[in-house]
Amino acid sequence: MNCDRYEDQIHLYVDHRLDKKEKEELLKHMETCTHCQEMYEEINALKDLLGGMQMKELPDGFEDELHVKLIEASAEKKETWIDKIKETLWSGPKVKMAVSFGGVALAAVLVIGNSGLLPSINQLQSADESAVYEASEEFYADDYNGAATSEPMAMEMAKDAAPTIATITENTRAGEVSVTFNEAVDPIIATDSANYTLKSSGAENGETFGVNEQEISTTDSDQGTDSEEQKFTGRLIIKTANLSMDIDDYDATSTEIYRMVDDMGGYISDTSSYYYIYDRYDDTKNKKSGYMTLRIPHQFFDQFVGRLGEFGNITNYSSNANDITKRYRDTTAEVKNLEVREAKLREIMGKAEEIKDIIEVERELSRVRSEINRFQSVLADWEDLVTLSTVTINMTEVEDLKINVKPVDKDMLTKAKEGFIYTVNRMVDTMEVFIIWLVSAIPVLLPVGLVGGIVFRKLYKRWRK
Amino acid sequence: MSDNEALLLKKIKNGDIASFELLISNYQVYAYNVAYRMLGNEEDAKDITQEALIKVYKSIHKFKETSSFSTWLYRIVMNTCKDELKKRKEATISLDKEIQTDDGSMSMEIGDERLNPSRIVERNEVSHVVQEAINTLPDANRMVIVLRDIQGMSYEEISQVIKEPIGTVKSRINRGRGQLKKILMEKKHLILSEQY
Repeated sequence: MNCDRYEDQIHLYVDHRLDKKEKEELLKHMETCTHCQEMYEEINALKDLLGGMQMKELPDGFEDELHVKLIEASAEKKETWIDKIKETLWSGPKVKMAVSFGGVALAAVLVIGNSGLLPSINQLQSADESAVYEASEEFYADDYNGAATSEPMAMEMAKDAAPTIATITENTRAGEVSVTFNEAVDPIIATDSANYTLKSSGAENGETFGVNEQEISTTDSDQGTDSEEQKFTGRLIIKTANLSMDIDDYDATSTEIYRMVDDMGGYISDTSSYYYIYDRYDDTKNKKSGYMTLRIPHQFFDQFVGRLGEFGNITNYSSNANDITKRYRDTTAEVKNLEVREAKLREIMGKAEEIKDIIEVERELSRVRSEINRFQSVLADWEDLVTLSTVTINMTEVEDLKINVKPVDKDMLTKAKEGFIYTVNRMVDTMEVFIIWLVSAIPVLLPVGLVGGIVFRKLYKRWRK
Repeated sequence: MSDNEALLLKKIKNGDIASFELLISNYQVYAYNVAYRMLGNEEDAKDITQEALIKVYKSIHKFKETSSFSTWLYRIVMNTCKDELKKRKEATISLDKEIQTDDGSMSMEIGDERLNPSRIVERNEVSHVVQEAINTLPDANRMVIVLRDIQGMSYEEISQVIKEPIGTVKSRINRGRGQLKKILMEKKHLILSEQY
């Protein structure tokens, strides 16, 4: 007997889902089949049992809790339009992959940028630093200037800012000269605060004499007007100019310029030239390009730059005038100070008898001398820069100078066309640079991307859980 | 769907919480009971019901007014329960495995609850026995049994709630009842002592 079919029917029967015919058939079967009869009773009992299970009341505080949560949800709901955008943006694993890859790439760029593969960032930074350095230099120079010109201030400076760098105690009775030098870290401060006290104890009265900054400063300002400074009265300005120009004949033009430089009493300090491909389909059309750095006596500077326009089209021009008058004077004064100090040291040298002391003084003397030399070479450089202005010219040979001469008027279409071509060219260039960068950065990007990808997947899986 | 409900829905879509509470007042007890039968304990049932109701509130704009609100609500409750059960399975803790701590390893022990008198009473209650039996059913079968035999829903309604064809609902009811019957037969003495 096939009871399996009837078992299904029984379930439907207790649920009142049998039509009249099916019901009759089932009942008829059950009259004869005790198995199905039992089955029916069991299922019916089970249904009663389940149906009779008491409804659980809502736990205490259910509605209050829900109310709080609803208010929170309502606040969130107001931001749903943001969620919607997010949803559309973040839908699909592809977008997520792309975004994660973008993040990795960005991280890679940062890493590479720091490691120096992209030098521009570092250059920027160093430019900043040098600016700061220059500023601080000026600050010291200011200080020094103040110290050199005003006597009481020099005293103050010597007392406050500077540890005594040289203390020489001379005891004539004992025939001993004890010399102590304290090296100061900053050479500028060291020269600033040169304050040495020479104590000479006489045999009877212990007479003390001192040489200090005050005296040195006084002599300083006396001497400050002679020698070099007379050569450079008025403003001291370092002039530089930077030009780019298009010319029709590189060799002829450069010869022409050299002659002019020679006439003016200047010289060529640096030059370099090369051929570049002008027309990639015609090798005979290769052109010459290059640059030259020229030194022109400062009085001819303006005249020289003015005449350059005769040789071609100046496409780019920048000039710079750097006033170093103050820094020059400060450094000069510094040198004077050191020279006075040198003379004093020589004086002490004459008095010293012990070999030990002689060596000590000798050492200090050589230090002062090297300091003087250093400053003097700086001064010499400045003098050179001031007397001879620097002009750098970048010259590019072109097929026809007139091409670069802009027509007086352009119709809108031409302008638009030019703009379009320019933009396309820029896009191509940018793409090219990017692709080159991408390929060259593969050794870095690949491991970074791999690690990043693994981390992202892990985080993503965790987040999904 | 009554006109009253349609009006409430309009207000809810504008963010009116009070209207929402009014709308679900008829359903939340059923939702809670469905969750309770599905999850087997009151604590989880409360949390899941609330979670589901918040979901209902948040996604009310997705509700199409041509369908039945109760069916839609039960579906969300069921799905939330399903997620919870899935989470539980993933978070199953092995009793045999030793747990590594800083002070060495230890193994888990099950607390002895036999001596707790209130537990004994509770255990012998018929409804509790039945609930335990329901808990052992596979999730899919448990769902239809809860909806059909405890909540008294029609096959059609169940089919809409679980989004399965009626044929599937039928076979799951049959199978579920069969399994439940078998389990309860083994615990017959507990039920009989109470019922007869």
